[in-house]
Amino acid sequence: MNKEKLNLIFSEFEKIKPSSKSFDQGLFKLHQELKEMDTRTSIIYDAKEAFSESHVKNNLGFSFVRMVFSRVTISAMAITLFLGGVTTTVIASKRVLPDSPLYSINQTLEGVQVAFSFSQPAKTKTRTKLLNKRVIEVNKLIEKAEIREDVSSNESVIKAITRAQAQAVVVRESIAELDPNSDEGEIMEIQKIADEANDIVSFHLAVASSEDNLEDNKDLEPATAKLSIALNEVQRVVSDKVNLLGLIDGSDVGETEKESSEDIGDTATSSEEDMLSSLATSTLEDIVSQDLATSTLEDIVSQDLATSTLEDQIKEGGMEEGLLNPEEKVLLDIENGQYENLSTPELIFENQPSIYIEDFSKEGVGSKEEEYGQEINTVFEVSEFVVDDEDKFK
Amino acid sequence: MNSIENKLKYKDVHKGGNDFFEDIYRELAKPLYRFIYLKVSSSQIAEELMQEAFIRFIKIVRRMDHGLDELNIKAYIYKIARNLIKDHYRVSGQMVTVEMTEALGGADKSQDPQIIGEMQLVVDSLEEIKPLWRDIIILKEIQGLNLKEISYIIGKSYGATRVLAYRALKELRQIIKSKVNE
Repeated sequence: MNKEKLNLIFSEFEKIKPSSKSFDQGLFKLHQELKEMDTRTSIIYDAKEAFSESHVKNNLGFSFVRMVFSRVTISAMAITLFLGGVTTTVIASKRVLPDSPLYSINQTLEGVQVAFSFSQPAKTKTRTKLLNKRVIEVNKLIEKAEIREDVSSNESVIKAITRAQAQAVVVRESIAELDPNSDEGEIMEIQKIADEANDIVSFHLAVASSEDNLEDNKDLEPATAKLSIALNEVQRVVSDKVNLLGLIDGSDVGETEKESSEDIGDTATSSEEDMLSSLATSTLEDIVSQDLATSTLEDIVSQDLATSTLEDQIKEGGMEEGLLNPEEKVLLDIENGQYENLSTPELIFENQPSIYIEDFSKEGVGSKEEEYGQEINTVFEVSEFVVDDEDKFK
Repeated sequence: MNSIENKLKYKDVHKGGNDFFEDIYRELAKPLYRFIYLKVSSSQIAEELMQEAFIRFIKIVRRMDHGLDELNIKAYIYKIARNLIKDHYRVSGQMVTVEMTEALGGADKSQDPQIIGEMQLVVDSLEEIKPLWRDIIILKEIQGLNLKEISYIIGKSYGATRVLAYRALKELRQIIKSKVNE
């Protein structure tokens, strides 16, 4: 039997077909399954994700806790927490969004997290992390809504923004209460996290306020502007704290301490006074309602840019870039086109846990040694020869 | 298949709507059935497994946060189907021989009996070679998949797959030759 003949016979196999009845039946089943998936709310998947994402660290042994955790319900989770006491921390899932039914559980866990951080810097750190989470939630919700094209009318987005704003206020107050003599490393870390949160929101604002999206997101604009102001307040307080420590953008402590005391000694003290006075008067409600109600993003931008550009201000005032407050920094960055290179918001989410594809063995499909996504480099011993041109040998 | 993958790249599979999955089904159901049938030789089981493979595919894909990486939808579904067949044999145990007259189901009665005989010869010969080699021959020659896709499905490197495909075909031809001479 020669090659052509064999190929002909191989092509004859195409006549093996399923009966049209079973073909239609399969299509029907497929439709049903898809329909069910659409209607079935994401409760099951969210629950699964929440459990798989809940990282439990315990000094008694990670695997034990994980084993327990994989089987238990929420009540058992509480017991573990109770028994584990101080040594156990549960980090609430990042992927449970406010529109999920599990969100309230998530928030309870967050409360526990804050309660178990005892010192003031530790509390502040946890709160700042939560702020970061709130901001990420806002972005994720907006993204989700954008896919459905109902950003403006989406209440959960507005609620999430308000929540993030409130968290920003909490963080701001928490930072302001920090003892300036406390650990420098802690404050630098807090600044890092606050920076990240600010970056995320300012990037999103840059995207949302671009001409194409402006019409779609009109309702969101004031809310997001308020959030950005709240975040910038946080940044300002953080940088004030850092200034008090004499740490400016990580430059040498000794030198900057001298410089700051000589050159900007006045500004440092005045900013401290400002901060204290603002603290004395402002409550949470005040801050939210403070003439921000009217101002939109455009106003904020135009106010600053109307008089002179930031670079001019720096030249005239003899300001150093390091002394700019974060709001100005972001504006400067936008002016310099730093955000133009960022094509997707994902770039900022680098610290998010990486998402893996479930391998088949877990699904019960079989073949445990083959893991999807992994490049399989089987060492294959060629005992005879390697054919370079296989057609030649056929 | 190309048209579908052009419309929606494998990176965006998880965003696919119901129409998209229906298109995939229409495109792949028949070849997938053929592949499964040649391995389980029962139209009933092949139909069940074929439907199960698609449902499993949408279940997996819908749960992903991102699309597939560096492989196409076709190879992915074949891999699922192959694993389902493995599961099937793990439960049922024994292999069953394929009867070509039954496979063609009498739907095409004008079929040349000589060709049916030759197909039966090929099928019988296929049963005498290693399961992996048999898979490769079915995937490459009968299903018309390319070596890259096959290498993903069987979980070997491209080079190894190429050598295996060559050897498998050589072996098959030798067996057919010996059978004809008998």
